[in-house]
Amino acid sequence: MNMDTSSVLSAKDISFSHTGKEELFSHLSFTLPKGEFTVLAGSNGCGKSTLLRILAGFLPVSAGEVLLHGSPIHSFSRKRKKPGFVPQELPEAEEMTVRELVLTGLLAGKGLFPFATGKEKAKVQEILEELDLTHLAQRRCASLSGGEFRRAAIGMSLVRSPEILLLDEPCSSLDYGHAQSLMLFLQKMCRKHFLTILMVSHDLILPAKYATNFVLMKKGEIFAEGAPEKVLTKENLEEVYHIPFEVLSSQKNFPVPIPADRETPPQQ
Amino acid sequence: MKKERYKELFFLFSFILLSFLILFCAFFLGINDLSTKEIFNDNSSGTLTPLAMARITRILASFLVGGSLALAGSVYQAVLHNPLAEPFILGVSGGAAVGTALAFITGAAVTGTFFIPLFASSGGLFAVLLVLLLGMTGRGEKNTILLSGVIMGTLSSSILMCLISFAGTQEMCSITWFLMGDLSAADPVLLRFSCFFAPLIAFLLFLLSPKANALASGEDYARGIGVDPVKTGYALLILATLLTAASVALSGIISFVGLIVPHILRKWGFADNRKLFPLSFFAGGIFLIFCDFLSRNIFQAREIPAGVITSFSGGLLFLWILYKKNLNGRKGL
Repeated sequence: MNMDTSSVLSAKDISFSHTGKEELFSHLSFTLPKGEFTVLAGSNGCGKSTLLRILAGFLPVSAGEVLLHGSPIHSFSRKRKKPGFVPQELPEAEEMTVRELVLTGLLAGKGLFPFATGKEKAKVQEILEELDLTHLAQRRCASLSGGEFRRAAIGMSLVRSPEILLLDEPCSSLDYGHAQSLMLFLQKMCRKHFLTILMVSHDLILPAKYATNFVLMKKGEIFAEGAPEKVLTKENLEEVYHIPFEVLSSQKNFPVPIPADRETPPQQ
Repeated sequence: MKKERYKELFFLFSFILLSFLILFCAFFLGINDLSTKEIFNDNSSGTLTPLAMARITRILASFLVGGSLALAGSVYQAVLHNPLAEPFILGVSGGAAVGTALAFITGAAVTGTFFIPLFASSGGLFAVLLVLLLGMTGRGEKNTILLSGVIMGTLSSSILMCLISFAGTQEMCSITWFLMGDLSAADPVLLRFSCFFAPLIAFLLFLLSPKANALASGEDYARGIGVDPVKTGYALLILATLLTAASVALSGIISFVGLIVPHILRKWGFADNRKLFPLSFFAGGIFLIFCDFLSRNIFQAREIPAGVITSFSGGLLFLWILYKKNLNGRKGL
């Protein structure tokens, strides 16, 4: 039994390949720190999204195991305990209202009973308030802005009160304003409700400000891990992205990584 | 919040009122109008006259068939993420029709009436399986599944044509009517069977409706909230196919009910499958009763099959949806 209380989700010595031939991960180990807002970054195709899906228990590994509270993730029959997962794409059921979408998160996982109890309705209301979606509860998702729809999609997962939330590039289609609101919300959930968050992101500037932990991946391996200011260094970023970087410092000492000028195309 | 509630209540109230009106017309009006005196043989025995009995049978058959097809359409649309998925377009009706025709031609139908739904279900399930297998070659792309359905439908109709060419004159006639969707000759044994079977499957689908919502959101969303998309998807598809097969066995191929009814209901704001599934069943039933009523009364001298009306109106709606989607610049169907 794993008595390490600082982690709730970890991958131990896992190997994985998409095709059965070339391995994407070979003996990779990773521990998600409890109660932290962790951001997973790296170049395209380095295995960020795959790692996220493995940690969610969606993809089987060929060697090693994924542990949730010290036990293999597949042994958890109580689905409520499993990590919440928010895919990169928005839900396709865009004709449903926001309230119906969030309620689906609660009703679909339980047995065969299509009605919400009073307690469940109250839970949905609470999540809608938390996500600042109460005024949009009866609106069809298709009529929402990208940021609002994204929040509703997150609500679908959060309504099940998961301890861990995994998000795949939630800000990919959002402008800076909406992306910042989402980061602030995630930061609040992390601080107020002790939610453990792992978010895949291509953007480094906003997460550098709001995340408490950073993981850089390179070609299927964890390259660097730790506090943003320790991970987001010029050397690390240049090694991972193969382009020159400059790391500025904001007034509040947050690292601000930006790609620098370059003359030659990046080496892959 | 309140406005939406009123809208839903208004819809439900209008729907119930319209249903009663349609039921009334379908029962009393026709080439031979029924007067209240003609309902019962005589007041003391309380038995129904043959004409009244025939009308009731026909209305019941229309309700069960229409309800089954509309509900099956809603299920296919949720599972396959495609508003154009429907029993006929997916080739399920065609597969079930081949099964039914085989039951007639091999003589199994004469041995026992229950062979008809059995053959129809096998045909329907076989068609769904083939469509899904073909669809997988396109990495689950929406268009590939629909196109596979169209191919399946074409294959089925060619097999049916082949069977017709082997059949005798009388069988040829009944198979041809069957292909056009005929509600006038519902087998009483099959009808009794459907009276239990269709509501039972509809209830099971209602229980699965929150899971269908999860699937409609996307496979990863479903997984993320604890729903196995593969198992649940197959369970929903099999139930919808059985429902389609039972209705094909009862009345032949009636197309596009599964497209028209869910489309209108969704436009009215009933996109949550917990509401859409039961409403599709009832509205589909009433819709087909109405189409059957029209088919009996459009031409005074001659009756046309109800399937003609549904396929004509459904075909137009299909074009309209395609046109609107293209207008909105969305990718695919």
